[in-house]
Amino acid sequence: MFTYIFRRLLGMLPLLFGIITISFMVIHLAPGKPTTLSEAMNPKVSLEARERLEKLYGLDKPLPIQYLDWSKKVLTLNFGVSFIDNRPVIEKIWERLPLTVFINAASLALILFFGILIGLNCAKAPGSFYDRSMNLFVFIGFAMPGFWLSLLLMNFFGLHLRWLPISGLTSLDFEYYNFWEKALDLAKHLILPLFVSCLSGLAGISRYIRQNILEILKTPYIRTAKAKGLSDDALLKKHALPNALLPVVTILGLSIPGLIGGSVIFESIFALPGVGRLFYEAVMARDYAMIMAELVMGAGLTLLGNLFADISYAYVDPRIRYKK
Amino acid sequence: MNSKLLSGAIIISLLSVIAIIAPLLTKHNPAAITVEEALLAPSLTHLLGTDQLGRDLFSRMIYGARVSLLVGVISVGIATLIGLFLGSLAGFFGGAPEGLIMRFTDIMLCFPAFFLILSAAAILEPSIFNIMLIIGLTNWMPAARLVRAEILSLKEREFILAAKAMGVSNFRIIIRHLIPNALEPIIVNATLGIAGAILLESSLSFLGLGVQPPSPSWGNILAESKSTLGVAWWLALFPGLSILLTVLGFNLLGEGLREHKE
Repeated sequence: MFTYIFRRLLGMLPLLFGIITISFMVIHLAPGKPTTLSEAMNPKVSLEARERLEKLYGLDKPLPIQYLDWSKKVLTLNFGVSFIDNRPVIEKIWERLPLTVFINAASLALILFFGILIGLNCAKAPGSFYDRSMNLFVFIGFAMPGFWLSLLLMNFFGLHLRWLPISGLTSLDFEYYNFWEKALDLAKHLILPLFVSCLSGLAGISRYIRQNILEILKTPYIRTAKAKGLSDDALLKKHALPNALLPVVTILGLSIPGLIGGSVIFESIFALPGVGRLFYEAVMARDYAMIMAELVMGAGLTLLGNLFADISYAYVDPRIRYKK
Repeated sequence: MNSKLLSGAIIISLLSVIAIIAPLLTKHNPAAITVEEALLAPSLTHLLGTDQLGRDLFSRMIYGARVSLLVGVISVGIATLIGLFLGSLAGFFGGAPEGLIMRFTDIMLCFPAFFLILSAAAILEPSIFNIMLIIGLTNWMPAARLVRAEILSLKEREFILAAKAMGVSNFRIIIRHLIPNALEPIIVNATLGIAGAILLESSLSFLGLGVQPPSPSWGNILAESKSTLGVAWWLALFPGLSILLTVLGFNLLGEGLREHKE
């Protein structure tokens, strides 16, 4: 197991190098000094932001030196200060990271739980009414623009029924609540964002689990178990499901970049103070120091997520662990 | 012809026709501001109502359809071309170029796509052209992987061997013999990709980083509808429904094509 983890860590090094290189190229995409009138009149290409960018990344130095500087910044997580309030970028990210990680972890857990539930029930009776309506749900879930769904839900549960708050993480008088009231308040604020962030992932996973179970039900070892006289329920849950779930670990790992990217949208809509909203604010203010830091951190989080998925896969499936 | 393919094809052809003949379908100018007619509910004169500036929502939406379809098709075109180029190089030549290209693909996949797109949008000017470019340049990875896999399996077949024996150049083998035979899965992938690209464009426009007002796009109409939430339900409902329907249409078309082939 440890050699496996070590090998995976080693395999991540070229990826890390690639992340540094590509983000370095993104810095150099930045527009040149505004020379034409139309650009100079455009507030979005602010001369000041460009000057600060040049100073921050030493863009007047030779390229190799710039590259070394950038690598050092990334490896030490020292991304300079935010253009907005001059606070260290990394400090602002650490403040906001827990909420985003919590929401993403919670939605992964929810996706897994409901995905198994739906996939299992669909595989029980393929072609049934339940299976077909879930198929429809999958197609709609894939096509649903998350930001639109958020708007509709806010409108209905927040403005129309007034059951749920429509923005922020806590109510105004949060400090005066006792523990349970605080938990309830947080839950009320998080239920809609969680629902939205789960939906499209859930559509994919449930279909995938269903497909996998149906494939596995055709294999000889299931026939043997059936011949032994096992009930259908035991067959599905004890013999088919665990094997169907193995590749799901990898799929969940692969869905992490999508989830992190999606947090920009729902955190902005629901005004949640996470890194997604931080990123959005940075983009709107052309805070390049923050943008670059978040870009690298986002890729880093994805790498970590994939590593975690690979390790859990190796943990549950010895065939992976011992493969060269 | 299965039901998915059929329903997808109907939705998409209908939308395309609407987008193409947009000026014939409405007598209202999508940009005409009539403050006295602000926030009118749907009626016979204004089929889908008007927005806070009194512009006709129906005409804004059919012009928005042009934007969505155009961005979807062109950005996926860019992505597919890049994927074809890198994927066939990697698949055909193997060795060091393959290692390099596939590693590059892995690295690009590490970045949350939306982060990469937003960073690029922050740096470049938000224009329709740049949006297409950005979405294309950040979404070619699945196409490259697919093309490589297809070419890897095709290049061992006898007809390629025969072509090689006849002295056909590598370039010609790739263009005339390999890619045409790999086209089916690539088209399926591109169709599904258009759905994704349309979702991306509308999200970007919704966040104010895509198509800029006053040019209408479904995403930026929805963004404007935020300020009238609870007052003008039509502004929040119809653009979203169109996005949903369009994306659904392309997904159905893609899935239908895949099943049809099997």
